[in-house]
Amino acid sequence: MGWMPIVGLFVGFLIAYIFISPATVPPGLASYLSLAALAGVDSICGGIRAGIEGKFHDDIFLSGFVMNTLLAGFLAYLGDRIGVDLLLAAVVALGGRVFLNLSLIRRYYLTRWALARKKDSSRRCAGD
Amino acid sequence: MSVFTSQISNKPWVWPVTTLGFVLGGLLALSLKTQDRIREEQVPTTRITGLIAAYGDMRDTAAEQKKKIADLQLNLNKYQRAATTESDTARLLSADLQKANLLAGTVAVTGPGVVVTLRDAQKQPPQTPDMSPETFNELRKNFIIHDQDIQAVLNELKAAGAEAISVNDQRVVSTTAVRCVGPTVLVNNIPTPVPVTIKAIGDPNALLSGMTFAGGVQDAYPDKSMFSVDKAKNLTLPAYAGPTPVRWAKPATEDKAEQAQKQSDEATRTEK
Repeated sequence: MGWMPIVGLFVGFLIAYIFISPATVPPGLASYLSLAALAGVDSICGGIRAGIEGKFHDDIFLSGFVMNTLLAGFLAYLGDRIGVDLLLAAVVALGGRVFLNLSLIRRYYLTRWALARKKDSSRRCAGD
Repeated sequence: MSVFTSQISNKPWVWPVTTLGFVLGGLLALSLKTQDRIREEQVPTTRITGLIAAYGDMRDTAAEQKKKIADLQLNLNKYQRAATTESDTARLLSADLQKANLLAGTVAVTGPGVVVTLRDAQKQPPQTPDMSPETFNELRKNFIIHDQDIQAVLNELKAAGAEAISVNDQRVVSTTAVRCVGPTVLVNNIPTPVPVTIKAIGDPNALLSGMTFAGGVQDAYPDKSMFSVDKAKNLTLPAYAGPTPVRWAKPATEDKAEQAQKQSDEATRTEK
């Protein structure tokens, strides 16, 4: 079941890619959109991690997704207006979190896989 | 029960995450599309390499279009010449037109004249130890060719009766400006590198003496290597290939022309 979000991601990507092809965002807003997308990636990774750890709350997850996405875009916009490149700060912070969450997810699945293999082999031994 | 433990639950998390993953996929696709479009259509504002490439493209198109203009002008001249065979009046008109074209610089011309070459000086100005860097820089300016130097030569050539002039194969016409933009000199809005070769068609002897008389343009240079002038038997200058829009000037009506002529007459009279 853990791979369902990935499938959702791909399906959403493909559908959007095929059907919204003519509609794009004005170039001035493109960097904000990219940042919002990165914030979304962060939220999804965080959600998966929370789910794995058994701490998942759908309201927190949903509000986090929406708020982070909007906030990231707004922060970057603010940074542009006051002449500080907050876009970079947001990218670094979000990127770091994405990597952290991904590493935890990987660790979880690797551990589970290793445990399952051990159980498997021990069962085979018992069958002998 | 603490706040943190209260959050621990085993609610199904896969479906909400999948749904938002779907949304995020859309977002990513939109972002990707936008970036693709920017890459295709626009000059990337933050990437200097992109700007360089865009500049190169623009320059190539400009050169291409200039060539096209030259071709078209050549064709126009051909048509005009062909029209002369039609009738006597047409022939007369065409002769006038050819003359006007020669002076306007819209046709290539060939004839005798002089070639003037301006170079930056090879040597540095003499520097004494007690000289401040500012004075030295000020002195050094005289050892470099500026737009004023080119202007001065053009002016003197015209005064000596030059009928057609080109600067680095840019034809000088009545709307030609010679000016500095940063470190480069623009002629007809086209960057002109040093050495500057100025070709002028006219009476070679008159032009030569116009360039070399004592106290003239030649003597303004601190280093003799900066200025050279040679007679040439056969020069060919290209036609002016820039735009020739006339938006503001119109031929004056007869009474206005008369009035202007009167004013001009009066002005010359008072000078005498």
